[in-house]
Amino acid sequence: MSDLDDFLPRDEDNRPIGLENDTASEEARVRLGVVVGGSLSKGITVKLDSSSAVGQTIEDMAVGRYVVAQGLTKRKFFSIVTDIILDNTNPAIEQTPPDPSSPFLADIYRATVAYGRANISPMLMLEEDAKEPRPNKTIPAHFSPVFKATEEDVNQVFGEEDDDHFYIGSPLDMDGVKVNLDLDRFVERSSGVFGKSGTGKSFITRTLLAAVIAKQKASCLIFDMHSDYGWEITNERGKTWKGLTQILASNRPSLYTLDAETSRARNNTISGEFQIQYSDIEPADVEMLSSMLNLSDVQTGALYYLRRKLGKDWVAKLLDEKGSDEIDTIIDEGMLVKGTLSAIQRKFELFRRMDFLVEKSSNNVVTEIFDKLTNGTSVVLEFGKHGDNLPAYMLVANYLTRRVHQRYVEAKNKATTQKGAQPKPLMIVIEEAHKFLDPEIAKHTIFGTIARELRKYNVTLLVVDQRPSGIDDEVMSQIGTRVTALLDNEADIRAVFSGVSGASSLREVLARLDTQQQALILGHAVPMPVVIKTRDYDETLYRAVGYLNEDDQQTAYESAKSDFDEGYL
Amino acid sequence: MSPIQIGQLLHSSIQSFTFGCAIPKPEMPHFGAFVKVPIQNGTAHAIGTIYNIVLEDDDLVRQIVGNQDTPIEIIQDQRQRQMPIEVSVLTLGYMQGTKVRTGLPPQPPLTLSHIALCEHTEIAALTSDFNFLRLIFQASDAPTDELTVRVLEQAAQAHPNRAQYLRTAGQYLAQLMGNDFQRLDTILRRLESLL
Ligand SMILES: Nc1ncnc2c1ncn2[C@@H]1O[C@H](COP(=O)(O)OP(=O)(O)OP(=O)(O)O)[C@@H](O)[C@H]1O
Ligand SMILES: [Mg+2]
Repeated sequence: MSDLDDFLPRDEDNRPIGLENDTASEEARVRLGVVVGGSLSKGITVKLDSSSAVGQTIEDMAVGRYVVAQGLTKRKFFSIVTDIILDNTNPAIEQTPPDPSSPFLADIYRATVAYGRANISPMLMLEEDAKEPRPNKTIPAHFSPVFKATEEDVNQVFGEEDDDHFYIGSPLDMDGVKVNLDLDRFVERSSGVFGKSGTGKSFITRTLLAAVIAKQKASCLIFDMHSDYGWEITNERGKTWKGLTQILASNRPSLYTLDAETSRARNNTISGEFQIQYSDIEPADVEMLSSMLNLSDVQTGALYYLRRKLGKDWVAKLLDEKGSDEIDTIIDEGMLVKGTLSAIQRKFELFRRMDFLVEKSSNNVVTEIFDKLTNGTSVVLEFGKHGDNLPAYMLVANYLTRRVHQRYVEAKNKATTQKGAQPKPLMIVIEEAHKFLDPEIAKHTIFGTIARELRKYNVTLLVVDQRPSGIDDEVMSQIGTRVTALLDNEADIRAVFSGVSGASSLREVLARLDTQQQALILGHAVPMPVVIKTRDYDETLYRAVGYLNEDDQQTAYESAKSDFDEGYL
Repeated sequence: MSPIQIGQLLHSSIQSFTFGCAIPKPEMPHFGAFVKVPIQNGTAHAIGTIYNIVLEDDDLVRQIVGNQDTPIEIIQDQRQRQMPIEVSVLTLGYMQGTKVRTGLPPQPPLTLSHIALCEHTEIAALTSDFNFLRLIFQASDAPTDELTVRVLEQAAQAHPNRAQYLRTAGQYLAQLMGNDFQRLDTILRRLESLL
């Protein structure tokens, strides 16, 4: 082989590699460069090959792209591109760059004196004959070639799509290649979906929920703040998508609403109205709202006192404008100063706008929901017009979760002591999670407890949030799988990576995601972090989780009918 | 077709040789041309490139130079005289049969050996890799940069895709002399003008 061949590297079939065009064949691996340095802790440096199409290797390289370094001992190192750098062998070229009108010089310099580098982070390593990749404890040797990942590479890492592995998106620029999420691992620990507003959090969450519910991995209790999950979704441009209750044919979630009027106007099929009796509210349900209501410590403490003094109807009594002797007595006895009491009463005024709070409700909706969840039926609780009322959202989420969790604890304890059936795993979905899990309150609210106790009682959280930096560190470190769309706030980015070793190199990746439908997934449910274009939420997905459109229904009907006619049924 | 003989060897070493020839034709010999000479009893050839051409003076020339208006007949007479021109060649490779290698030959050519021009195919074989450029860069008394440009010009003509050849040569040069950016840039600009 002559030197000229070194400049025109060829593959085994004697086709130029990375030169002219990549038409040859889809399978042909596209070489990007060679490993020239780096370390296990800081990542690997790759000198990029020069391409015949001017600048292509560099400009086609994208942070977050999935590449494979082919080690010299036949090990494959699955890696993510974390940075792209322009470098040169002689800084003089920075002072006298070639004239752009002279492509000959520029071409030569681009291939030699001036060149591109990429930093890549090896995440997993596949030994020659091994089936399963493992976390890598070593790095590819000098001059190992680096290739664009192929479909086969992705499949080796993320496995086949099956009942336990759900297709959630494709690696960047690898349309049609499937990244599959391990659903069992996903529900095993609490998870989070993060990203700025409008980046597709609700769409990702809906996809994840559809998979979890369709594959019966857990019952989900979804606090649907903005009517994103249950029924039809319409975006600002008028495009519509189907909700979980519509597409999940066999394992249909029940839809409850706090705003029956709106739900009915939307033609939703609801299972029931969610109401809370004043008399069922306990101080702990309100305490969580203390920062939102601006309740001082003294005022918060007073709630418990008032409950004890006034009995079950304490909230109603406090809201009663006519006042009562009982309340006067409390002041007279000097246990509470008048200022504190009237402050509390003033702050409770906002309960009046929550028309799901009622004197007397006919059914016991908490028990109804608990029964559904333990039977494996998921529940979507739609807030309707209360969606923009954060105190209402928090009050209800807290109220219901505390009670459901309590029963789960009892059921679990009973199952353990009496060797009965374990309660179905439960995943509770909350939006604006930082309001529930901020460091001030995470220590003593139900959501902090659930996050911290792991899955001791088969209950986990799926938190959806645009400001992960507001979530308590300790809670954050318990979030096993993190699906993160674009974040641009430094603190939020840091929060998402907290407790993940070696993740610093991924920061750049996260800050540069597209503004929509791209996400970095890392943690418990994926073997290595990966940037995906999230799967389109469309008819194909509906069908993947069991949706039958009219044609399907017709076919199903006919096959059932012919079975019947032939006497099978 | 027998090769075009252009002179006979005066003296030689492993690295270079000098041959004499009569009054040059307009096109030959010229700076940067590829020539070959038999070595080892004619079993092989050394191949090189012309890096210098020297014409010596003599007493007669010195006398004539003093005249202001030398008649044209005298000038022509003078040029007809049997006075050798000395042509220096830098050895870049050697050839056994049809196999061409870059590098220095095992033996130098003997005096009075006949020098001939190289065929296109021989030039193509010798210059299919760029190791010969190293020998040019190591030569102590050759005008390296100029010679590089001329040699590459000749070599490019022997390859099917001239422009691609020059570009690849340029890349090799950039690696060879990337630390001397000004010189590199000058050579590359010259190569560009050949496109
Ligand atoms: N997987 C997807 N399939 C189809 N469209 C999508 C997908 N992901 C995002 N989109 C588009 O992006 C828009 C915004 O997505 P989404 O409502 O999920 O964002 P968000 O992060 O939940 O925003 P917010 O913080 O305001 O709730 C959608 O209206 C839709 O047009
Ligand atoms: Mg949303």
